[in-house]
Amino acid sequence: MSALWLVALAFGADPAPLLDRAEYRFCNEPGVDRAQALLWCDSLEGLPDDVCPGLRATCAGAEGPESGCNQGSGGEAGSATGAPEASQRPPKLPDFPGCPELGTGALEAALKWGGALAVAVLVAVLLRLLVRWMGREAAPASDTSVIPATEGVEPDPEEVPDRPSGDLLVAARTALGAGRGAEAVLLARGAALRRLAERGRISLHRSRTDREHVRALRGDAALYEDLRDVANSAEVVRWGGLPVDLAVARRAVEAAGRLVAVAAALALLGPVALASDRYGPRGDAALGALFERAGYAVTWRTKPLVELDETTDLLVLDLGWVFPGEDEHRAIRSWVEAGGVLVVAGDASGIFPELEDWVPSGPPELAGWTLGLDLEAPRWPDEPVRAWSAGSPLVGTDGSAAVAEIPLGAGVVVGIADGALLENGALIRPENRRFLAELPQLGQAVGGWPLASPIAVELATRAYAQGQGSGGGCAAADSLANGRLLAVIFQVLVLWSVVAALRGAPFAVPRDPPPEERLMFADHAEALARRAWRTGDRGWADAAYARLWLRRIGVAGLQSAAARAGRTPAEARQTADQIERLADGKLSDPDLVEELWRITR
Amino acid sequence: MADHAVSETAEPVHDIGWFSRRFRAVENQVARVLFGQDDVVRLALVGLFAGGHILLEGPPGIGKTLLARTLACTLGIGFRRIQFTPDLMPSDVTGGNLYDQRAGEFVFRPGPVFTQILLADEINRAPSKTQAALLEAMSDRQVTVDGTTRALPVPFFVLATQNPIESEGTYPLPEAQLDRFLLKVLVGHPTAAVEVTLLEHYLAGFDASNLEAVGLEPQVDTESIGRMRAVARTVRVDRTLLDYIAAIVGRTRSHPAVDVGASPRASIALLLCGQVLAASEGRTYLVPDDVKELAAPVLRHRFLLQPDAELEGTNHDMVIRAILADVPVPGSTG
Repeated sequence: MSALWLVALAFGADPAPLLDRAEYRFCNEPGVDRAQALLWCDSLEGLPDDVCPGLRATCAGAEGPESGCNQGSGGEAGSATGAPEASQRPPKLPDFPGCPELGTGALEAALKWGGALAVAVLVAVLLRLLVRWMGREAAPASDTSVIPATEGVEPDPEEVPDRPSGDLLVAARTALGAGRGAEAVLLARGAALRRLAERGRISLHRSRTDREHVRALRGDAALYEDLRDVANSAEVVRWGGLPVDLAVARRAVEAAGRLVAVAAALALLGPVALASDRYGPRGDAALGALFERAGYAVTWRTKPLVELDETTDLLVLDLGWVFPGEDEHRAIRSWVEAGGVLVVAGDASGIFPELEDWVPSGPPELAGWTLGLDLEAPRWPDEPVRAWSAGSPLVGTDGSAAVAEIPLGAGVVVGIADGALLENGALIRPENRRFLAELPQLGQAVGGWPLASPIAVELATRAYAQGQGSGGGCAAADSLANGRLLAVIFQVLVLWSVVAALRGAPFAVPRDPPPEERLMFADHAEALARRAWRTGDRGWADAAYARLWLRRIGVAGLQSAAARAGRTPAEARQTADQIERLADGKLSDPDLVEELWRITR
Repeated sequence: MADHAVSETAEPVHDIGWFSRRFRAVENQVARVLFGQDDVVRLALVGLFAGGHILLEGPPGIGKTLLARTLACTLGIGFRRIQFTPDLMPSDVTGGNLYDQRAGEFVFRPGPVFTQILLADEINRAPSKTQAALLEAMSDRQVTVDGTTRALPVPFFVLATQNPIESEGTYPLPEAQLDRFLLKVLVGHPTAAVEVTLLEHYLAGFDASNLEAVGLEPQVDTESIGRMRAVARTVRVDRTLLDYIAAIVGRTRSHPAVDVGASPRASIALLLCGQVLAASEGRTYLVPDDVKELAAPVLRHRFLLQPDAELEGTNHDMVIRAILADVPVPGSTG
């Protein structure tokens, strides 16, 4: 199949346009994902009218439902409006591991996350019961000495304070309330940066400046403006040594508060939104399908990048979604030097300084060894916004390289300066599909890339970012599994089951932990009884034993105990009366003591 | 055009805002002639207002001379050019005493170095002796001929160029002398879009040899340049940023790929240029980003690489990037 497809590609035909699948609703239904889809209108230029009719209608201004969730009509239920018939669709392709075909869109996502939340609540309740039953419950909240969040937080201008962002924000508000504007601004900056780092939106590093963090968020309008405001205010305080007007400080603290809230919301909602968007214009589902059809062994990376090893042949890394840290930088570089082939999209100058600068770009044209081949230069939505100033260009743009190749050790790095080429929207264009599909094979055959046959392609793109953000998959269980938390939860549940089977929880009535004085009394009574038994004062010991049980459960309790032990109500009443007399020393009957022992077992 | 002209009475307050406006005005004027070289122009102006000299490295025909001439027009100061050649003598640069037969005495005839903006084209084509004559003038701002010392005009700003491609028949500048240049700026070819714009301007009648026709007007004068230099020095620099600068420069001395590290002159250059860059953006204070932005042009000509590192393809900019990625920025964390 793949060979036929490559042959077909070689003759310029495209037997199975990728985006005809119903999951790509932006391509097939008017108005879907309008905001993103409009960016790709230029991609339709020169294509037949039956290509992406939905996007064509969206671009023409047809009204349609605005949707942030693009996978709602996938699967069997997805004979959506405008989608081609099922018989014309290509065979189903493997998806990101653990991501089921989703067919009911928002409802399924809601059910999925509702289920996950229910499981979480159930686990929490069971744990609480277990803790209570084992008598180790923490002291009541009222007894807990709460450490004020602001305690010990001093605005250390040398670094972002190593405190939870929430504490820093509280401290910032406290400082603002006390009229300490400069301190409030610095703490607000710390809170904002800390929270964004906690949520993986930025990577705090000793060599990075606030402005660099702000630039890193340029594509995220929800965060960019606020972080810029906070950073600007902090800059005035930190480097300008200037007094800060309280109004300015208030704005900075408010911006930090919004950042903390938005980052938290993105952390909760992001995975859902990201997952639902994998079939949208900016998604990466079509890239996997493309490589699969081209005959490569495609897998989606789920392991951390630091674990890259020789089992990965060619890795596609999209830095628009995946933000490797310093350790990952080193691991990626070492892996390439050991013979890996890396196709990296986005600003990779942090990992590979050999690519030098990430500069503004012009129109793309083939260059280097791609020139003599029957290929067309890929097209970006407008033009590639960035290009590399170094490296051997495979696609050149005005003296720089939109796609650059650099040999590194035994491996090769292929930098795609503008990662939009990898997105679903770009794969509307046949020349883009051809370029990407043939790049590994041509690189192996013509460019001398050290690749084995068949070429194994691993994708660390948007799906991998979802994995990082949500723990590793589209479903909650997958996320937990990929985050290596599922095993822990299973262990907790199995432990609970074993203990419950042995001790009867949670079906037994939870017992209150015995008060200290009662335990002390019982110990005292037992000690006295042992001494009486040793000294032969049986009467006193019997009376003490009876008093013990009277104090514990009273006469009514003794009656109940006798009844549970099979005595008739009359016998139970009589036994209780006799035990009361025994406790008073008015009766001495060893059989009664035996009876007391039996009914209180 | 009148609003661009120097107008000290309209702007009596010489503060950072005034500096920034003047800086931008000069930038805009130069941009009318020189297309697509905004970074080069900016760095050249940073060097000028920091009181240093610039070494431009790039292929011929990319507008280096035009940059110098345009700067001279826009700054309203004198301009001379020296084409360095293997037979150029020191006296061809500095000038010398000639015998005046009428007066019957030796008369000093000033060389082209007696100007305010000097374009030293292809400085590595002249022998070391001639280079040294210019470099001495650059550092001391004066020329000594036959025991008589003559001061150079103020400001004195050298734009030297060298071609990185042709190395045959050249006399590479010694590292100690390279250190005298405040900045080494790499100039590349323009992009195709910029080149098309350039061609359109030529089609419209632009003539690089006739800058008067463009209508460039001086945006500052000698006095203003002096004031701007003074204003730039008032930019606040936090103590921790001094540590940061020293750490960056210090790291060039301990980096495994470096044979001889940068001198303290590099730290001073980084500080002064950073102040000018901050002032050009209207800031009264230096930020770490200023230092990072200027690290490459300030440092790339001031340290020697290990031969092994050079053979492996390491270059100065790669080392600087590695250093910047490692030295902690004050106020950050990791």
